[in-house]
Amino acid sequence: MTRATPTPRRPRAPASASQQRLDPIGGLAVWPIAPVVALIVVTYAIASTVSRPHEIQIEEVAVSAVAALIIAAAVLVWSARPDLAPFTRARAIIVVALGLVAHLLAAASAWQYNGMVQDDFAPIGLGLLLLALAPFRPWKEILVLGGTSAIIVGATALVQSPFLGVQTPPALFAIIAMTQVLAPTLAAAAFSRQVVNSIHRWQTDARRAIRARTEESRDLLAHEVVDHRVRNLGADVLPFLADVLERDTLTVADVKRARSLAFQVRRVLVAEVDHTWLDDLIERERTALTERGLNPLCVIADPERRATAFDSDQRAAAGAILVALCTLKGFDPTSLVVQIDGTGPAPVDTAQVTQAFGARGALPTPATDTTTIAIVTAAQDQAAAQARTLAQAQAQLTTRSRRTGERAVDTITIQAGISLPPYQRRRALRPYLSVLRAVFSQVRVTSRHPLLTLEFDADRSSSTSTKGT
Amino acid sequence: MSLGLPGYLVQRTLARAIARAAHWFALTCISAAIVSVSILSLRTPELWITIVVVAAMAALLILFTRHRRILLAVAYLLVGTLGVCVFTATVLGVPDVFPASNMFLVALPKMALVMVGGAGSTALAGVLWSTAAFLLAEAAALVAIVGTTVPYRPDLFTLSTYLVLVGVMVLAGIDRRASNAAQPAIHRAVQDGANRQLRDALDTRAIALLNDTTVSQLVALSLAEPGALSPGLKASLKYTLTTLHDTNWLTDIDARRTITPQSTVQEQASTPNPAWVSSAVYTAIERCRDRGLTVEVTGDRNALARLEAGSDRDVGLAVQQCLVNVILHAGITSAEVAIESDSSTISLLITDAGRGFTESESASDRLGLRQSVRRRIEQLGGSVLIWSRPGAGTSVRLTVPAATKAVTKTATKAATKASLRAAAKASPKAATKNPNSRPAR
Repeated sequence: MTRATPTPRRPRAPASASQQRLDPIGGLAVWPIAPVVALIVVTYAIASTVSRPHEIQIEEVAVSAVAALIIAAAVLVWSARPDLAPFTRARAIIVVALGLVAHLLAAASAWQYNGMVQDDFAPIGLGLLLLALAPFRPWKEILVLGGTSAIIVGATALVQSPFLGVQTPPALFAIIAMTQVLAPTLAAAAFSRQVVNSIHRWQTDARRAIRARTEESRDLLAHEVVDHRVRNLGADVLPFLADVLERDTLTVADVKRARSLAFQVRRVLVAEVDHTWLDDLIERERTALTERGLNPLCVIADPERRATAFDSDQRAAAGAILVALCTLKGFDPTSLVVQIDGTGPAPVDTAQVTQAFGARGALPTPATDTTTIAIVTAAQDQAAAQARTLAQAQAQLTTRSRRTGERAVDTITIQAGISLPPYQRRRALRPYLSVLRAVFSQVRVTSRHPLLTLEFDADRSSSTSTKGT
Repeated sequence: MSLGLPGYLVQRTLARAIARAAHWFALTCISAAIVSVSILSLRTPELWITIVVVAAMAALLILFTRHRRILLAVAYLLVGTLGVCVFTATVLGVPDVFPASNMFLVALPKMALVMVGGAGSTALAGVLWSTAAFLLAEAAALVAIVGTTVPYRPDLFTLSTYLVLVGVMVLAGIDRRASNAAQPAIHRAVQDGANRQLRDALDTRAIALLNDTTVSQLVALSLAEPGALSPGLKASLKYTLTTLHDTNWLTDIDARRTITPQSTVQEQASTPNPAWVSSAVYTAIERCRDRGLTVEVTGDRNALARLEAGSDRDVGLAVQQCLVNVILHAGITSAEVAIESDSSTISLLITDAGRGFTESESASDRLGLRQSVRRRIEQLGGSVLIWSRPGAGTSVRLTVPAATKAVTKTATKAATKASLRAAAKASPKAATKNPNSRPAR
């Protein structure tokens, strides 16, 4: 082993991690386990009930036991559906609770006439339901749910033991019944833990590699940025400055020219500062589409620059689906519209303006720039007035939302026309949607052929509270 | 979180997880068997042999879990088969307890044995192993049952366990092509995101630099009186042009950062206050002094050594922008920079007694303070506070996080330690006037 050279400990996977959450595409591949298990559970429950009519005392209760288990299986399948991901804790609890209800009802229906504990359908069904949770829920939760179920199942067996047909110590019945639940539970928990750890390890390595690769391209990127900037400065500014320096005198025309150049350069720079990752991404896709000989028309509406609030995972997921849409067969290049709006305050950048102008007098004089007070033109005055109105409106919005304790939610809406049969379209986009569901709090897909609308929410409550304003 | 497993890792990962699951399933079965027969042997002591064989299975299983070797799998299979035979014969041999052979208790070691297949490296190997285990277990049980008086009934527990295991392994072994195409796309998107982030950081810096140099220069020219260039204006024009003509001003800064240790060593030898003189804040102040501003520095100057090279550079540029603002707008030739520090942050207060400003004067103009000061400082995790009123001067307070210990990444450790020691001796409140401050030109 590598004991001699201590390697840095890898960060642990978060306790809430499951295969589905960490690797949504992988989760997509294993989801058929849910319907298969559901089918087995339901078939076994029905077969077992039908084959032992002599044990059943109250038929209605027996039927409702089977019904409860069928509902549990249905909830399992519904919860595991990729388009309803992620599989939440509440859903897991409902599935197990329904399984337990089925067990108690089944025990009640054969009260005092149950021949053997081992052929009861409910403990095995419950165990299988727990087994099916493996790809969807964290191992500790599976363990807790399974442990609790096992205790209840064991207790039921103990209570029934005086009436059973086999003459063994009562504890034996409890062990048999509990094993039927515990063995699949432990298997599911072990699976979940192992898969989550493996994925987490891979992700840590992959992130490290991505960082390294990014660092490698630093020089190249810096070069590009400088090139771009100097080119943007135009052929005007540098020669002008050099000329002034060479002449060693300043004319009235120079002063005027300096003023107009300063205004131009500044305007370009301000516009560039307001660029977000989304603008860059769409710009690149637009270029790619143009290169393919198409005539793209991609619209972005993100007036509050809410895109800046997205974290790197959300950016990656949203970026991936945008790229996927643009490269999809049948994509209408003139149809893409990306819009971000939401509730709560806009992200930090704009919030600063809000703060600066929001509560006059109460706060110290606002954070404004003094560099070019001298070159305020009529256009700038107008812009200033607009900015102030916007800021005031936002300040009101901010105070209102703070008062009501509203969460800050950014909603991104992507609209695209795709002339593909719905089945093919769903198939192509399914993996991307599964990733979106893992990183965004809510994902809604609506389609009115050929227009497809994707809408997803980024919950910003945690990040805003840490950043503060 | 969206970085899923790449195709080539999926099979291996799932196989390992299934192996783990199978081991735990088997261990649970064996444990249940041991506890059950222990309880039974209280009444019928001859059952002790079953405890021994099941315990042997458990030991081999644990060994097999630790070291996945074929030899151990074979050993587990053989000992398990023997164990199943002995276990079945002995348990069913207890008179008048079990009505038939298909008892769950009897199935426990068989189910544990079938689970050997879970450790197979591929789906096919797994299916073959568990099929072998299933056949051996059933054969052993049949042989044992024949020797007892209990009637034979087919054991559905082991059969269904076997089928479920095989089903899971086959399901995990199937390759899904649609997902395979998407995974690299996601990966690429994450890499793109990282690149874009770096690019943005560089661009932010580039824009700030351009604002510091080009725009400030143009503004200075637009405000100057026509006629001969003043020496200050000339100096700053030269500085701007040399900076921009240097094709690699962004990477140069990085390069300079890596060279820093050497240059600081050189400077240390000649100056009594190395950490301060090598800091970018000092350079910024010197540059503004060159342009004719009197800057008085007070406070804990050596605390700046606690800044990382990158932070130091950005703080220096931010301070420079503040001082340039004083030069351009405050209508005054002096400013004060006060440096304060506590255990985790360093604050710089740049004060002038000049004109001050109001929001209405500059609402639309967001670039200088926003980009060159605020963004820079906030990228470092710091904060910026500005107080100003017409006629009452302007104060800008920059607060940035700093290393708590005497360890910074790039500065030479010795220099940092020396400066920190000096900083510790000089109380931050007993601020001395900067000996380097020069009068206005």
